[in-house]
Amino acid sequence: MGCGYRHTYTRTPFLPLKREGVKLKKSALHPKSGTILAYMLPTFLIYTFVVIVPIISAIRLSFYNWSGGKKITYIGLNNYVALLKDNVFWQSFRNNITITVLCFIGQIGLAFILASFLQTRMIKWKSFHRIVAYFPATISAVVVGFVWSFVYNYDYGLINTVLGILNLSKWAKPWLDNPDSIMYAVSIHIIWQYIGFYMVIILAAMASIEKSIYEMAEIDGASGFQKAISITLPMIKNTLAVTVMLCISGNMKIFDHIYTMTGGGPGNSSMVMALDVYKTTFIKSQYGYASAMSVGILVLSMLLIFITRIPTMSWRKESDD
Amino acid sequence: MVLAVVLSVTFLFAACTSNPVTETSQTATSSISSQASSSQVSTPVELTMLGHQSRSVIGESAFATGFFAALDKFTADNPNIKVTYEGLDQTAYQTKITALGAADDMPDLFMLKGSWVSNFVDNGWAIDVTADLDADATWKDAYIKGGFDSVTRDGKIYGIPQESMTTSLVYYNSKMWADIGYSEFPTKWSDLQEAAKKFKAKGTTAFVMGNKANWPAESCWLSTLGDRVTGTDWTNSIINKKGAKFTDPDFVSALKTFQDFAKLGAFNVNINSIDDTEQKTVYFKKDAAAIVNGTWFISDMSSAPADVKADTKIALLPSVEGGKGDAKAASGGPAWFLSLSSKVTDDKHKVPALYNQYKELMQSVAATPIYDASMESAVIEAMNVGLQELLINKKTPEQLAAEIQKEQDIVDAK
Repeated sequence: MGCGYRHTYTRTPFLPLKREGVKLKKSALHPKSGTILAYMLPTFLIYTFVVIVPIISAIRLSFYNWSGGKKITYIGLNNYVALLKDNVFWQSFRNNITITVLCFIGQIGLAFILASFLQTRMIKWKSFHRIVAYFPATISAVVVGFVWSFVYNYDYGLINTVLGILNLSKWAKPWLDNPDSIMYAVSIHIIWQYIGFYMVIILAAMASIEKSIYEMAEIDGASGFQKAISITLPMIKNTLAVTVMLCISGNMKIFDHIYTMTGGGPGNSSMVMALDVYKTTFIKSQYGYASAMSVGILVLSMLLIFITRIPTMSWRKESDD
Repeated sequence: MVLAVVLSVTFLFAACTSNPVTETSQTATSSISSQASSSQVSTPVELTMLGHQSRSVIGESAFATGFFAALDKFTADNPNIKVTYEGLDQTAYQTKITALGAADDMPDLFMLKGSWVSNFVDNGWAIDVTADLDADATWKDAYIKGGFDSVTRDGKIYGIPQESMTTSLVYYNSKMWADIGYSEFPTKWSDLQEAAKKFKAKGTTAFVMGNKANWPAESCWLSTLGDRVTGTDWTNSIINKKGAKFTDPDFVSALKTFQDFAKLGAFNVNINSIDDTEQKTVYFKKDAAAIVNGTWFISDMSSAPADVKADTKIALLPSVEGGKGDAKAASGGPAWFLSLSSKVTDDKHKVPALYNQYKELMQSVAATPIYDASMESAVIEAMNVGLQELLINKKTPEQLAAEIQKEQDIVDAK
């Protein structure tokens, strides 16, 4: 297996010089494989119990018709056939995609811009900005949903009141009542909450870029914009790939924000997949069908992440470790 | 033995109806508790109970006041019986009771909503109490006619009604209606439409509705408006699966009447984004001339401003020309029941009888079924969600009727 045998690029004072075929001495920095496994075991067990077992259980339940009690009947693939024809589920999927695209542009795009600004010399009080930007990510999603639904309130909301003060009352609308624009209204507070989160990640990635590269570019006459696009963006590719994956997976399972703000309404215009599963389970008592829906969400999310990883696969081949 | 105790507890609570006059409910409880205490038990018994009322609304909600007064008196009179009551709000209660059922961990006593009965009975979570009811005819007859309908399946009764109310009363600000020329609330639908147009011309909202949680449109409006157009026979046929369908022209016509009324601009423009608590504020501030709500709103009115409180009167929704329904009917009756968990499997015991209280208006009014107390919950969910879109003109009545019927067909196929 060769786990005690690895290339070292720098010489360390603790270990003897490497020679081909000689195993390294066991120490605290290079534990035995058995010790590694022992430390990972509790986490692995918890992960299996909390994630893997429910997934397998959901896959199993999706082949049955179950309303929660003792009566449970096997119906094969009927749930999946019904799922493919379920308009509400596919509308929820389109809504999830809308949110993901808007959040990709809003969260990661804006976070990148903000992080670039924070890197410049002009901005003072950098750590204060970081704290304030990250603060919304620490608030519960339920609180964010409620507070923003008051902001959007037609009679007393912040938006319409400010428009009234500016004598622009004719632009005041019932923001959460229009099915055509409700997805945009609902995405805004999701974007708002997590911009800081992605900004901090991108800042950390940017900090690892050597400053000398920027200096050389400045000597060549590159503007700030060109520096960001041509230097920063390519060098943090791997981190960006991770943030894209986080963005997709987080927005595929979005629930609290929608539940507290609109409950999926009006009608089903702001329904998302996780909320659909919740309603099918607890209001319609169709546990088997909801399990099939959950498996559907899993498959669709993995498919999306796989699709977005294809362009980045070539990147990862370049920098191998 | 446990069954006896549990049944006597049930009777105590079943005495309390949702009454605007709390004195009468207290008289009822004191007469019952004296009878209940005569059937004391000697061995200590512990009961778990889950409900959707909480002690925080005692004094505001007549039902909660009566319910907890009865519970406290019963516990005081029967020191050997310990009832552990846990209260949650309705949405959380629905989630919890469903989860407990799936985990096979039901409490001994729980509150059951009419639309859940089929599901609960199929899964064996509520036991049949028909025999106990039949054994005590005075007790059974004390409940209002049709009180057990929602909770009967195949001739067996699975719960005791714990509150009786109507969901569809028009509370209107008589002064605001007098200002546009109506000294009394219109009794014909065409008059109501005229009034709505006049309010719109004046720039006032005629009716406020907070439909964010999507049940008010169906429970407070459609259950009665539907009855005006289709007649009660159609509703009963749907509930008892005697051949009526949601795609029948009468029901589609009811949906169309509802949608046309919304198209007149009779409702507030943010109908789907405020909930049933926020709609009260709109009415209290006189931004709307009327609100259609249930009996529970009577207790809510006690916190209204003095002038609104003085000017508010109660009426029924008008009759619809050409409709098959009775103009003096309102959707009402027991919507919530007290049920015994199937885990309580002891022998029987004779228990004392109780008497219900009727409200003055209800004495001359026939109760028609409340849709979400009698129809299947999956069907009601489809109806509620669709109504939100119907009222903002994003769905036609025919489309909605077809969707509701599709959901009913899925439920029937099980």
